[in-house]
Order: sequence, then C-alpha cells, then structure tokens
Amino acid sequence: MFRTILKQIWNQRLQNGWIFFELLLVGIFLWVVLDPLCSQTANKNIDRGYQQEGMYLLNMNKYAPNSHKYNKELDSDSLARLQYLDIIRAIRNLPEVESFSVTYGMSYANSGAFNGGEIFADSAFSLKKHYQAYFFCPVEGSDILRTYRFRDAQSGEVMTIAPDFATRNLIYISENLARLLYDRTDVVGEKCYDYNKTEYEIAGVFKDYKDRDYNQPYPTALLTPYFSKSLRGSANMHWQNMIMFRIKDNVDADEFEHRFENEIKPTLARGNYYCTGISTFEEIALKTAHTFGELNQARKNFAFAIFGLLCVFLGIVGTFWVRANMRRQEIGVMRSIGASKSRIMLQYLTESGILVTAAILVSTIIMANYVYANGFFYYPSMVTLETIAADYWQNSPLLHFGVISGVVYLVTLLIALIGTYIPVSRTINELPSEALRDE
Amino acid sequence: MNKISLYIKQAWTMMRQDRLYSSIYITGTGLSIALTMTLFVILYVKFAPLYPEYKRDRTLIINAVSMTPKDTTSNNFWQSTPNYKLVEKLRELQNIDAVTGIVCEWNDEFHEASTRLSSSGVSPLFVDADYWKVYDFEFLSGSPFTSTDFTAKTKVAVVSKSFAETLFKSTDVLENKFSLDGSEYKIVGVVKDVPSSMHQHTTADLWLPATCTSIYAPGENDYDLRGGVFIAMTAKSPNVIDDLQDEVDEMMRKHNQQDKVYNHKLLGPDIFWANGFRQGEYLDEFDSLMTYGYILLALLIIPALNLSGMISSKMNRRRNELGIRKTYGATNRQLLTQILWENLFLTFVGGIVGIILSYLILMSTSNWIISLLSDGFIYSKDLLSSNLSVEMLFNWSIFGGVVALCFLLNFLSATIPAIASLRHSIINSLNQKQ
Repeated sequence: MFRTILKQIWNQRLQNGWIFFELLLVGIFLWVVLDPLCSQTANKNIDRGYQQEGMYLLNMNKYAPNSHKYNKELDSDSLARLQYLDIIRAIRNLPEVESFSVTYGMSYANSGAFNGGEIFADSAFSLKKHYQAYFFCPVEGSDILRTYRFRDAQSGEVMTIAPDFATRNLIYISENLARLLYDRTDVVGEKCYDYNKTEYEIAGVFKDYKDRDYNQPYPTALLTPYFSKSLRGSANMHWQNMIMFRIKDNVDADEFEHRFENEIKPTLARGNYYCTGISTFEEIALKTAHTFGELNQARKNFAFAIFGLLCVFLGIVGTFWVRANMRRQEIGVMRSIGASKSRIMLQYLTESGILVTAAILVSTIIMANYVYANGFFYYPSMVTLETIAADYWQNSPLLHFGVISGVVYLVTLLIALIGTYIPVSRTINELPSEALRDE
Repeated sequence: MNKISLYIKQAWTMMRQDRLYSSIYITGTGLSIALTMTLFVILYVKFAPLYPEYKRDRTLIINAVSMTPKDTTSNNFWQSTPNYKLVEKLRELQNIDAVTGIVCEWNDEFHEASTRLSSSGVSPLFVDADYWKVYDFEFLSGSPFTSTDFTAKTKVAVVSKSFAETLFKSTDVLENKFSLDGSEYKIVGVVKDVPSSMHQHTTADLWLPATCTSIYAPGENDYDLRGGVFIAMTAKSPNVIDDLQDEVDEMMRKHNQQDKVYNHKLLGPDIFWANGFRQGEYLDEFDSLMTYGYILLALLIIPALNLSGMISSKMNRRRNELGIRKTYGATNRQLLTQILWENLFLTFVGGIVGIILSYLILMSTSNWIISLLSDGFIYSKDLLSSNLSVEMLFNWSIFGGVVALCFLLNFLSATIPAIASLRHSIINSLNQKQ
C-alpha cells in the first residue's frame, strides 16, 4: 500500500506541490509563534509558590500640598507614621481579614519592580549568588508568610513568621536560593550575608516563588532592609509601605469588596492619607502582564497559531475534497473489488500524513539552522539561566527545540488528518454503484 | 463588459454547484482578509491622522533625556522624562509651530459635592496652554484654559463629554465644579471624547493645568532638563522636520557647552510614527516596519498557497471543459481572464466575509487589540469613553486596502495554477479521464 501511496503522491505532484509548500511555510510560521507561546505557557503553569486568591493590596494616596484638603501640620514624619499605623490597625481589625503584611518599597507579587541583590553563603564572601530581595516591615501582628501562604519546603505546611523576627536578623529564603547557596534545602539556622556584610540567620525555607506570573521562580529572600528594621515615618509612606492582606477562606470575596468600597474605604483616611480602594492580586497580575506586553505576546501568538492551523485545515480539506471527488470512480472500483472503507481511508490519511511529515521535516531543518544562528524566539538570558538553574524543558536548548518541533508536527498532523478525514469519509460512504455511474 | 458579466454569472452558478469548495474558498479568503484588515486598522489607528491628532505628519515627540557627567572617570548615568525648561527652550526655535509639555498621572479619587462616583477612576492629563495648539480638540462648549491660567496655577479643567455626562448627567457643565484629589476644579471647556486607543498624550477624561500637579518639577538647577514631562511639538510644515531636528541638535550642543558638569542627550525628537517603535535608546523604525511586513506577508502568502492548491486541483478537474473551449477557438488569454474573473468573484465574496469578521474581531477585542503589536512597555488607560471611533473603522483607505488585497490575493493564488492547467494541449486536455 505504501508504494501505491508514494506513486499516488508523485502522480499528483503538481497539486501536492502547493499543499507541500503551504505546509512547509505553515511549519516555519507555527514554529515562530509556538516557540514563545509554548515557553510562555510552560512558565505560566509553574506553581507560583503562593496562593493568589484572597489577597488584596490597599491602594493609598496622599493629598498634594496644593490641594485644599492638605494639612501641612499633619505632614511630619512622626505623625505620618502614627497615621499610617492607625490605618494598618483598622485593616488588621476587619473581621474578614485573616492576615496582613506591610512592604518596604514595591516588594509584592507582580508589582513590576525587581529588587535584585547579592547574597553570600559564607563570611569569607566567596560564594556569591544573585537573588531577589522582598523587603517588608515587621509591624506588630503582621505575617508576610501567612498572607502569601508560603509553604515550607520540607513539610509543605503554610508557614508563619517567627515571633522574634523583628528583633533578630532573620531571613526566609526560597528553596532554589537554598540549593544555590548550600546545595540542600534543610538550611534553617545557617548564616548568610548580604552585600553590606550584614549577617542573617535563616529562619525558614519556602517553596520556590514566582514574582511574576509569566516568569520562572527566581531565588528569593524575605527580609527587612538593614536601614529600616521597623516602620519609619516618611513623606511617601503610601508608596514606600504598601499594605497587603488576605481575607479568610469562608469570606465571600464579592461581598467583601462591595462592603469595602461602600463602608470601609471612606473610613480609611488619616491626616493627609486616604484610601482609593483595593486591588486583588489577580487584577495586579493581569495588569502587569498587560503593561509588560506578556499578555499581548500570548494573545498575538495564539491568534497567529490559530490562523496558521485554520489555513492548514482549510487547505487540506479543500485539496482532499477535490481530490477525493476526482477519484470517486477509483474509490468505487476499489470498493467493488472488496477494499474496505477503513483501508481506503487509511490510504488517504497516510497520503496526507506523508505530506505533513515531509513538509514539517524540511521546515524543522530550516528552523534548526535559524535557531542555531539566531537563538530561540523566547528563551531566558544566560545570566538568568545560571541563576535559576532549574531543569525546566524550556531552559534546555535541545529539549526546547525538540518539544517545540514535536508540538508543531503533532498539531499540524492532527489538523491535516481531520482535514483529510472529513471529505474522504463523505466520498467513501457513497455506494460503489453511485460512484461508478459516471464511468 | 458582457463577457465579464457572463464570467460572473458562470462563477455564481459554479459557486452554487460546488458549495463545499466555494465555502472553503470563501472562508480561507475571508480569514486572510479579516486578519489583514485587522492589521490595517491597528496600523491606521497608530499612524493615520485621527481626532485629535490630525497633525501627526508634522508632530515630533521627546519622551526622555539622559544625563552623564563630563568627568569621564565617572560611570553615572541618569535618564528621565524632560521638564518644562526644555519646553521653554524648544519654543524659541524657528521651525516650531507649537510645543507642549504633558504630565501623565493616574488618579481615581474624584467626586462632585457629595456624589461619589465609580471607583474605576479617571485619567487626567496635566498640560499647558499650547497643548491645544499641538492637538486639534473639538470643543463642544467653552474653550481651553489659557497661559495665564497655567502660570497662575488656576484650578480649571477641560473635560471630555463622557466625563461630563458621568459626573453631571449633562454636557452643559461650564462653570460646574468637581473635586479631584482634594482640590476643586472649575470646568471651562467640554471636548468631544478621545478614544482610549489613541496616543497616551491625548487619551484622557480631563485636562488640567500642569502647574496644578506635584509632578510639575523645574529640575535641580538651570541646566537640569529632567522632570516628569512628555514633550510633543509640531513643525511649521512636514517639509521642515529635518531642519527642526537640526535646530534641536544645535540647541542641545549649546546647552551642553554651557553646562560645565553634565552632558545632556535627548531621546528624540522622533517623528510621530517612528516614536512608536522606540525602545529606550534604541530606535530602528525600519527594522520594526519589517516585522509588520513579515506578518502581512504571512497573512497573505499562506492563504494564497492554500487557494492555489485548491484552484490547481479544481483546474485539473476542469481540463476537459477547457479543452472543449479551446477546440471552439478560445485563446489561452481568454480562458485565463475567465478563470481570474471567476476566482475574483469568489475572492470578493470572501472579502465581504472578511470585512464582517474583522469588525467582529475589532469590536470584541477593542480594549486591547490596538496595542497588540506594541513592543515593550504598554501604556493603557481605562477611559470613560470608548476605545474605537467610527473614523477608525469606516474610511476609504481601509476599504481601498481591502479591495487591493482581494486583487492581490486573487492574482497570487489563481494565476500560476491557471497558467499551469492551460499549458496542456487540446488533445491532452480532452483525453484526460474523469
């Protein structure tokens, strides 16, 4: 049968030439759009390491000096601190709130900011690694670990902050940072040092954490900055110290948001600070993904992939429909001398399968050369790779190429086989006598 | 003409006979036209002169200024948006028609008397009096604020129609007051809404004097050009843009001579369309345009190959018919014309399907589709007004583009298979077994 099919393909070479070139072009096109789409999706599907649902960020603002509501007398650093602590207390006392935390700077998930630094595993400062610092203010009652629901790397349990965190130089580090520094994760009690030679004691190791939804987990540490061990009053506390909180599991999020907007928000004004609302961490993630173009890149590649596959589908359906129609008599003869429907269908499916395989093989060779010369369309930088050092498939050049090529081949083959099956099944379901009537 | 109507009649009959073939052909064409037209609309919104940015052909943008110490042993480097000192310096240039400084700030606390409105927020722009010369806003009532208002820090506002309607349920709102961030503003003008898909320099719900914002920063010293302002300017005519750029270069050369400590470098002025492709220091507008070219090519070539394959198979089936036509004296040229017209008819039907499909795509994705092909950081504002306007979607250049596309697609897909099938001799064609 295989020889017959090859002969058939050769006999129909002009028509097959068109579909071959289309498949070849689509193969290249799909490679270009599926590489970023698959890699991005694979990154997005990596566990965030925290529970996004139920987390809120309090949006605060401050009246500008030229506003008629501005009160200069209430704008001193010491008063601002007291006002801000009062707002924090109001949030903490809400019956719906389970836990809260106060950041130092833009240290919260999907903020768009990145606070990188160097961390050392020994006092000789020989083993240096890059990490992301999440600074927070250990205000009384706050718990960054419970608010994010970070889980312990060993036990998998939700962690809680050490009660003496504020008084000692403690630090929590992610599993991947522990591996980078010590090559193991049971490192509680070990010492590490920042660029300022400040010594920290590791109080816990949490599961790998992703700062941005579309990124891979970056080695992270939770700590208070050496220059600000407690909440300090300043002119811009609404930027400097963001308040985040988690609502209890049994609280209805919609009801809470409605109550917050109508009842709680108007009461959260102290001195020159006032509340402008809350944002869910899902909203923040979505906004950041849009602002940094990640969402658009995913949408664009998805739209182009669908376009390419639809073209293949239409091309195959059209070509094989015309072809099956032209060969109605041949199919009639085959059926009248005893060929089963499935055998005839198999012949056509193999024919289109061979075309797809040949075209995708050529397109893969072209793309291998392109990628070798220019790199992938979506790939972490070498610096990031060295730091992350995770064995995700998208980080291994060979595996990356293999996975994308495989996906391109499989989706094209699937679409082509469906495109062949529909018109051919219409023709082979005719009675042989009907098909042979024109003979 | 009679012949053409005959061809179209024949094409219509064939379309009805070969329904599956025709529907695949029309869907394939429609898909290609829909995506290409969506791309056209995106490019049109990004680059064509549209309300209120009718002077895009002579608008130049400066979004940033960098500063490095003259002391070469230092590695310090600062980059920021410029400040109003630079606006004042640019105003003195000969080829400048108008120049404005724009401060983008996001606020979401506004209310009128005791009526608190939606928490979704409003997007104000803080601008100066010349802003109204750079951009052509249509005032439904009132007028822009003046340079005196700007200098005196008067709390006045120009608002969009949607803002007025949301806040006061009316557009007759001149002299009405509203509160924003604890400051009370008096409305002096109401303008036609700006769709949120327009440039970040014009999309807003309200426009206030920049002197009313705390971001209005004069810089650390006389030479410091850093601040929080985006600069847009119009040249006197499109022909003097190069001269104006030279003038700006010369102005900066003198400025750097006067400042003994730092060198300043402007990221721009970029011509409006090119500025859309700038990524920090990097600007290669032609490289970016090539990307659009590749996309357009893919959107056309892949469906064209698709259609070619189908036409080729179909021509193979019609070889008998073509052989008979040739026997009765039809020339290859006549037959080619007929095939092209038949396919053009189907392509046009596909074109209409494509237009409808593209409007459906644009309407259902209007809140993000225009920024789809933007690289890097995307500024987006949630305005009270809509994202797309009628002039963006319905205009002759887009429809003309679609017609041209139909011709191109038809030419690309039908010509080669038709010529290939007409190469066969009459005997060969008639001998072909059906």
